[in-house]
Amino acid sequence: MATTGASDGASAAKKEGLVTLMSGDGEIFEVEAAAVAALSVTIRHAIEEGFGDRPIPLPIVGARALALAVEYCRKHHSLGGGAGEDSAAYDDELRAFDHNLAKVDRDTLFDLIEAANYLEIEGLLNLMCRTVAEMMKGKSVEELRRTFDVSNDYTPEEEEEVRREVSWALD
Amino acid sequence: MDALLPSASSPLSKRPCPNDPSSSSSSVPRVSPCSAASAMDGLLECFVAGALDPSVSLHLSLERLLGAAVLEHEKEALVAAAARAGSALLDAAGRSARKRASLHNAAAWPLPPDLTIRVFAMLDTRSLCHASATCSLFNKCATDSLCYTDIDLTAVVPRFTNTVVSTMIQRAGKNLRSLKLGRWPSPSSKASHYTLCPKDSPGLSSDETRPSQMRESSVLSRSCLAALSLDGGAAGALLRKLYLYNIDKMNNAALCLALKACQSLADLKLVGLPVELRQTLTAISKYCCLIERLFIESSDIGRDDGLKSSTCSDLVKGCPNISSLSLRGFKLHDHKVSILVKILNLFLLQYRLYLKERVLVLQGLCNLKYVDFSTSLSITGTFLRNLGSGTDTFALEALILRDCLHLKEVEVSRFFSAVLDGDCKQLRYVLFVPMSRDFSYQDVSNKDGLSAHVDWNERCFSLSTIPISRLSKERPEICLIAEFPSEGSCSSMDIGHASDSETSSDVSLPLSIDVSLSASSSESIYSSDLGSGNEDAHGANAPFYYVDGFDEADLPLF
Repeated sequence: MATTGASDGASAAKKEGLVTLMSGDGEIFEVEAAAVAALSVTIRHAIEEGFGDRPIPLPIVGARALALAVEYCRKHHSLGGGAGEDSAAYDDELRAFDHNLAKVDRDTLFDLIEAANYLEIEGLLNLMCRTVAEMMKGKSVEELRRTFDVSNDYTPEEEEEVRREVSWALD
Repeated sequence: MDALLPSASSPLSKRPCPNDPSSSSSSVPRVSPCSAASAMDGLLECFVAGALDPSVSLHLSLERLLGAAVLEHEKEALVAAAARAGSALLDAAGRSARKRASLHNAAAWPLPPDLTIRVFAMLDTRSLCHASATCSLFNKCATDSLCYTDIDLTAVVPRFTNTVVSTMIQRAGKNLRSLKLGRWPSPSSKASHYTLCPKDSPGLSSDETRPSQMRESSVLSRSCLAALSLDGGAAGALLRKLYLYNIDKMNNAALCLALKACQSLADLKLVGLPVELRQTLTAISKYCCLIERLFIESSDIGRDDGLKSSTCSDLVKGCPNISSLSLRGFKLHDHKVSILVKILNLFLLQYRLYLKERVLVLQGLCNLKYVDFSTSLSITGTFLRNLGSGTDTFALEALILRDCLHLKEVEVSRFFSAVLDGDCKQLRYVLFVPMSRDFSYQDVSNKDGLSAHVDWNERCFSLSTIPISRLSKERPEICLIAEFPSEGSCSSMDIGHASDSETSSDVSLPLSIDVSLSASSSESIYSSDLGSGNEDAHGANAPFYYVDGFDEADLPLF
């Protein structure tokens, strides 16, 4: 992915309370500064460092993941005030939103994890990691390989050792 | 890519320029000068393509070479070289296949190790093991300490050994927070736990079936927790939760040693361990001073009566933070229970005036919110006298006395009168499931499961003895469950279960209460209602206790 990229759309007149984000693939997002800053530590710092009137480059975040992350920030900011899952503000609507957000395909899921990690959106990172963990729970070794499209790359000796180590868990 | 392997493993080396078969085998992996390497590449390409050609037989071709050789040792060398070349090629193909698989995995699973570990840390222990056997990328991440903060090695038929437990504890190191270990009773034996037994058999026998079933010894031995004490107790030092189930080979010394390493323990559950209550409690009061929830269920119901009064007061002094105390299946005498439950208040009154620090410490004892002395065969109920009287700070919210063989009606009756007079202001939940039909000394052990609604048996009580209606009117926030054998159910477990009262399995009830209370021991629910008055807290509290089998509709029945 391109690291940065001078974008001409970036110099557009700034509207009050908006901040411009630029995804790794050069797409521009104008979003409410308050919403994203409340949830994303990275963007909060960028704004504090004076990025407020320039587009904030987010080199490793793809446009699709960024769009979803921004949606997450907006929703959580407006409904929950950015509060965590333990708080009372985390209500059914927010829960349903999270639930739907987690229904993305595998690649988007991974992109979102990396995006949330880069943007330091703790809630989103947790949500997506938990989604992956839920996909893994209770699956056999073969099912895991199939689900995540990974293959056995053990030498026969390694495999024997690993299997011996976890034999108690294998059926 | 696996397709490479079988084809390459078919017969041995063959036709292309067999001038130098032995050197070809050894030079495959070697990085040689450019020309030699490219010559080898060409040779291999040619060989692989030829070997797959169905019209040539590697075997026949080798036979022809052997026929051409004159000397016997030449033939032997040729066969050996062919075998070596074949296996070297197989080896190379396998290695390439693995390398490609690794590359493929890295692309299919794009997360960097730190994020992978974050995902794995959310897995249960068994799933984590499955993941670690999946591929080397997962395996590497699955050894990280953060994946082992909550180790859950419990199973109906445990197959893990001490080594497995030790490895995991050592991997977790100082990140270990929660450890659950041991053998669950099988579902069938669990169900039989609190069910009826024939009228003529003594009360003990129904419960004795449970620990004795599934007796096949678990593979864990007494040293299974030794790793907690390694490295100066690094792994145990920050452990908060320790649950041990039915580890038949555990003993007092090993358990005490483990507890010694667990000085931050807040939540301890010991079920069916062949250890003495007295020694365990002594170790707890000595080492685990931060404990908040303590649950011990005897492996041998009704046998262990070695508890000393001094042990009780040591526990009370040593562990002031206990908010939930369950001692099930021990022979507890009322005066010891009194010490555990009530002395807290006496101390408080006595010392309040004198020692300021002491008051602080002892006030901590009034954290006790939940007690459970179920299946404590010798409790008569005298400890209920003056329970929580005179102090507003007495925090007891739940009182569980289930299958207490000798619980006396008169004591219970007196207790409720005291509650009506304003004792135990925080009390929200009472569960009595006396084993005896007449709720006195009679040894007719049975009852009909746990009813979801209150079932006062007229035979046992007149409303004047136990002021139920007054209680429900004046202290509506109290959820009272008292279950008695209904008539005719004494001799048959089927009748008891068929009666409409039975919906929730009786085992699930204490478990679910347990859960709800443990969830709240994080103070979130409790602290909010502790401050508020009884009456207005009712609405907020009600669903909190009516977990699982408790339908609100059932409650007004008493």
